[in-house]
Amino acid sequence: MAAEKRICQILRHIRLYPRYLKQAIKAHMEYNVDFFMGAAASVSGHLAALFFLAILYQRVPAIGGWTQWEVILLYGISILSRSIASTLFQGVWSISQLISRGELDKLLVRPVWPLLQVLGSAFGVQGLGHLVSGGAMVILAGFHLGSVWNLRGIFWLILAVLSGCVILISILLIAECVSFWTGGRQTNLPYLAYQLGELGRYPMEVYPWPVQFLITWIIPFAFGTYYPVAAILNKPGAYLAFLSPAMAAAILVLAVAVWRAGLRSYSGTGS
Amino acid sequence: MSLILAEDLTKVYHVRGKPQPNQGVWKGIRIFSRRPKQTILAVNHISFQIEQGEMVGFLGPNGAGKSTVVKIMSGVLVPTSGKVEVNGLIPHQNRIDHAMNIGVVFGQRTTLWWDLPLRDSFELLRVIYEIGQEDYRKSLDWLADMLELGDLLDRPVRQLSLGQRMRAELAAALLHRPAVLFLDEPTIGLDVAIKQRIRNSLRELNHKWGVTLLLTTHDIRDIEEVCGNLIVIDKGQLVYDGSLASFRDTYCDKRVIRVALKDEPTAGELTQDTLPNVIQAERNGPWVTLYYRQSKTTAANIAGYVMAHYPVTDLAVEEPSIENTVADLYRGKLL
Amino acid sequence: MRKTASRSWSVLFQKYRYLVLVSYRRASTYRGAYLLSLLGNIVRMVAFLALWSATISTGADRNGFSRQSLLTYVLLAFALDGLLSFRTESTIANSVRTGDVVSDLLKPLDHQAMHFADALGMVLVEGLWLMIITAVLGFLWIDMIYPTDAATIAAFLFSVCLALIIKFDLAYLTGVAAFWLTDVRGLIVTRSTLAGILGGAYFPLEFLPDTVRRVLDLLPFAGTTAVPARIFTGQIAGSAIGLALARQLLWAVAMWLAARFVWKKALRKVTIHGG
Repeated sequence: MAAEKRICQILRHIRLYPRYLKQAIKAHMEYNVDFFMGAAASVSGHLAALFFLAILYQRVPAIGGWTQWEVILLYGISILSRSIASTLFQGVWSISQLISRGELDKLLVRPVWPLLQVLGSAFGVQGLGHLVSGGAMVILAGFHLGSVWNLRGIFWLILAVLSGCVILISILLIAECVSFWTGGRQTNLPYLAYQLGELGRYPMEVYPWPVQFLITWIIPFAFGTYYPVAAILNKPGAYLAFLSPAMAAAILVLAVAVWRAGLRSYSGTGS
Repeated sequence: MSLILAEDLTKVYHVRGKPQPNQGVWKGIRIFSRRPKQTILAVNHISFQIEQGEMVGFLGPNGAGKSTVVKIMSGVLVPTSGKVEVNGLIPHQNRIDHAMNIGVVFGQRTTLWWDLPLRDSFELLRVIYEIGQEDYRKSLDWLADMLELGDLLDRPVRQLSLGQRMRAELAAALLHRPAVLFLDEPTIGLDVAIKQRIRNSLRELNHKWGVTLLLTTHDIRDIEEVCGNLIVIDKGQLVYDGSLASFRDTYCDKRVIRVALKDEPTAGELTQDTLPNVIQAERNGPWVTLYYRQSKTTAANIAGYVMAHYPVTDLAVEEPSIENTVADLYRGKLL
Repeated sequence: MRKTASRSWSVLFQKYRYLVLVSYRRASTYRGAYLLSLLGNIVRMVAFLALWSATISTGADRNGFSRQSLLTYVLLAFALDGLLSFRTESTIANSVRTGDVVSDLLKPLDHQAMHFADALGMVLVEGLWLMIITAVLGFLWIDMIYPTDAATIAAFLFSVCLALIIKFDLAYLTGVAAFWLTDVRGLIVTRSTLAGILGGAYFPLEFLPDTVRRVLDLLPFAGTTAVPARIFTGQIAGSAIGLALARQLLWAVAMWLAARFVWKKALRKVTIHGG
């Protein structure tokens, strides 16, 4: 009986979520051309990165054992997972601000999970830019590389995008929740975490080993994108790709636990 | 020559029209829907003059254009046409020189530095306004005393309550002894005691330093207690420009005189009686409030008549509040 | 009795120097937050250096750079690019959006000079940390090279000052765009990416075809990163430094004036709401 109720609750929340997003999108749409400016900005950033890679690859056929199209595939997948995070869960960035202004209260009185309300409260226009850029990169790379457009490749692709998104959002969530315990003072920790995620766009082989260790086992961005892609391309270390879903699930559980703990301390002190 | 001069002042805004609500996601992206351009005549050929030492109240319903006029005079907005001069300077053309001569207090905005202690904000203003050390010390002492800022000086501005902050803003606007002080809704959201203190301070300032005052407010009491002159603006046009006293005499026709009678029954009698030129009579205990028209008769006449016919123990003549008159004005009646 | 703002250079200098000090003090109190964002930038720097390092270790063509000087260039260019953060543009754009720009306009301060003083104060705090981190990364990881003679060092420092002015004016122009666009955040990111590429912040401009590079050298962007970085790594030396500095100076003056011009135009567009 309790399990059924639980499932009902979850379904209800899944139905409600798009409503929140729609509101967030509408709020954004008051701005005309600027709506697309945000998307254009992210596209320009990716074009710059591709340009940069082109300059590098003018000189060498492979960097760290990865050819140009392989790197583009990795980059594209990592941006695709970012696009889902930006369009669907952009609200995660507003958490520390809500905490410092004491505005979480209005979320706690509604009969909806506060985490969902927060996550769905904003819409990241740049996500559209990521979507277009990442999609184009993956498709083009797929045509240039043999091993992508088959059942196995697509499986790992979807896994990469999904677990990449889950890991990114979870880590951002943990970083934002730190504000619960810093007396509401905003830190730049989420920004730092986000930048670390960018390391996952390039092959791990280029990084010095402390960095590799950091983004594999401590802040597991590598499991989001690098390892699944390594599996598609049959790179060494690809066997770790099977850990990806587990890692994603584990960090998600951790993030939600941190959020819950934070909420408890928030309502406890009654700020 | 007048201190402040506005001649045929006009300000026109061009805005995109309002979007239609409930259009759904696609129409909502503005590129796909059309919004006509609208022209808003915020200030419509307004002219007035303000002399040195005057204390002028600016009245007008929301959206009337009075804030726009004040902003043009402070040099923040550029008028579309017309002439404006403050202290011999054209505000938007000589913005920096002009800023040296004015002080501005906004009710809803702060001109102080949020995270600095108040004293540091003042010190920074001293440098920005090029105030000499001696003058600065004297002004600060006097202002801190009058506005009771003593123990607030070492607190960061963001920690101050609204009332404390308004007092600080007022001091900040006056540190450099400006010739003109613009106040935009300075008493909004403040409690009665603080409002009183600010009004007293403004009167003292005018008296001691000769500061010319321009006060925009929705609180009629602010105007009644501080201003000698009144400018009313509605829909971008000048509706009244003159002294507060003549405004009263001209537009506040309905006046009030209150008489206290020997006892309640007598008061009741008075209330039932028809008195010459009295429109209405209300009883409250032994007091009777009599309403009459200033244009038809005087308080003296009414008082004389009542005292001749009834045993009166006390008498009160009230200065009419312009509040009701102004409310009528806003609603479009009158004038 | 009318007061006018002082025209004397010494008074003005003191006035704006005080503003720099205040900004410096305020920036110092936010050091903790800054350090974290600095760390975030360091991460990107690490990615860059790692990619470059991996590329040239395979004996690739380096367009005449030695391994050390190339890596030094990349590191330094990146650091210089991060010297002036987004804060200037965001502050101006936000002040227009919220209407707080009014408070700025009511003070007897030149708007551009005031924001420049503000930016300088922040650069003093942030620049110090950036230099330290750059030095640490440079010496420990890539064995960076550096100029040893006083003339080159002086030229480098002068070039950095000019670069700051040009960067500031680019940021100022972007911030002022807020008068015409409602949301400049997208524009800010695009501008900084574009200016970075064109200015040689992500790779030496020498890696581009010669004709392209010659055109880019004429643009102001080169003055923001490429010129000081080239002086530092010895890419240009002797009389060539003089020419590069002269061009930078020209752009610094031109951009400063252009920014003032656009600001004057922007003022006419001020639309502040409220009766």
